[in-house]
Amino acid sequence: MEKRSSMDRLSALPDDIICHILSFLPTKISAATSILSRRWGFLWICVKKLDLWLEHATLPRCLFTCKTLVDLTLYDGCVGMPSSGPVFLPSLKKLHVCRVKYQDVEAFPQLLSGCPVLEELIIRYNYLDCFNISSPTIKRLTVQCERNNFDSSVKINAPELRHLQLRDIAFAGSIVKFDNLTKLELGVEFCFLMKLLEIADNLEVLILIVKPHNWMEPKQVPTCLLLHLRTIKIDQFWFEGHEFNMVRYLLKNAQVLERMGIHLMYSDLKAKSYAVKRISSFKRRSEACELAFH
Amino acid sequence: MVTTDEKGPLTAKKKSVIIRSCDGDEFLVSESAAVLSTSLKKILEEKEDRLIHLSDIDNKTLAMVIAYLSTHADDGLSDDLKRSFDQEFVSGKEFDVLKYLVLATDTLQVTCLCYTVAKKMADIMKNKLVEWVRREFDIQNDYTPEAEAEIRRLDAWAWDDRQLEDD
Repeated sequence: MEKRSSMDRLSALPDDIICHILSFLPTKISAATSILSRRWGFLWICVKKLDLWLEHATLPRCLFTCKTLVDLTLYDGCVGMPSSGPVFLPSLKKLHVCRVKYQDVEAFPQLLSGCPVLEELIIRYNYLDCFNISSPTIKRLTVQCERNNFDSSVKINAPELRHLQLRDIAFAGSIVKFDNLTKLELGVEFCFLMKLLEIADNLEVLILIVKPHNWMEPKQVPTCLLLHLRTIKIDQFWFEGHEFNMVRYLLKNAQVLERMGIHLMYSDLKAKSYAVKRISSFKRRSEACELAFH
Repeated sequence: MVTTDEKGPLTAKKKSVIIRSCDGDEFLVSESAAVLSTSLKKILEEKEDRLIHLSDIDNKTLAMVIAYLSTHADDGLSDDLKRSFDQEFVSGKEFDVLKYLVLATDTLQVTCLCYTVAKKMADIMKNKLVEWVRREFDIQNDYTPEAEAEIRRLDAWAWDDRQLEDD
């Protein structure tokens, strides 16, 4: 083949073009390119989004000191994260861990402490019994465990939190108040709902996503009910006595509530019309509150 | 279409542009095609004269990029036709040709084509051996044999199922 005039320049495609090409490869293959040369050893991690399926794997150590990584998803790891060695991910904004095992309880807190700009954290189906989530920057947090496994608990220390979703996990408390929290989605025992309402004074939206088990009226009305809670959505209403009691309490005490939406779980017309009638007759502290059944 | 790849001195009529490759050949391109390249668009906005000299894009590559731009500027073609043109455009091209294309589209900021070409290159790379990738990217292996063995050991997870196989 005839030699082109610009051949010399081409012997090295610029880093950003190589990264662009590597971004179309599954992470597993793009990471394998580190074998090519010293320069390529670092190129694959300039890809901004990584998806890693771990399967009996140890993560490469350089992954935890990547300066450019913005979005990291880790799935199905047996060994997972190292508990020793430096962790510094100065650009990481979104971290999603799903079924990842940790070498020890320190591994996860250590990972978080190395993410100075993290905004979104999603933890699903984990193998740790007690989760300590401490981050001065996260704004959105989702923690979801196996169904009906209330052995797992989570402690949250995240003053910037705006949106929290907890599902099938016990809430073990927080050392700070959630002053910025405006949206709360819960699939947990009622006692945890109350615990959360008490520290989220500025909450505006409350969504209850799974069937509750019991209900106990709190001694004191949480501040958010008096000042800010505007929307309540109940995703599963099973017509049980304690559910009626909870709805009655919320309607009676939520001072600025604008809308309560209730999804009725039985299609029997008679039962439905009874529930609608009964709930509609409850006293509403906020006169403007609208009820919606579906 | 105004586009032509005839060689020889050209005079740009209204609404067309002359683009000169690094080999010195000139291409007459409709302005509507040229402005699909963000870089060319910027140049045209800034300068009066209709001759653009691209000092780092050769004849062959430039002709391909212009064919792409002209097709995409043709309002008579449906989006479906343009999409199938894109697929045709990269299929069967040698890796070396794609390298020049990806570089040219990056320089000219033709985002869609740059995307298509980079994706095609990734597809070709997917199942190749390390030696193939080193050769095609002109990569000098600067690891010592010991270092290379160590990397293979450390990053064993990436090699588990024999990625980068030969064709």
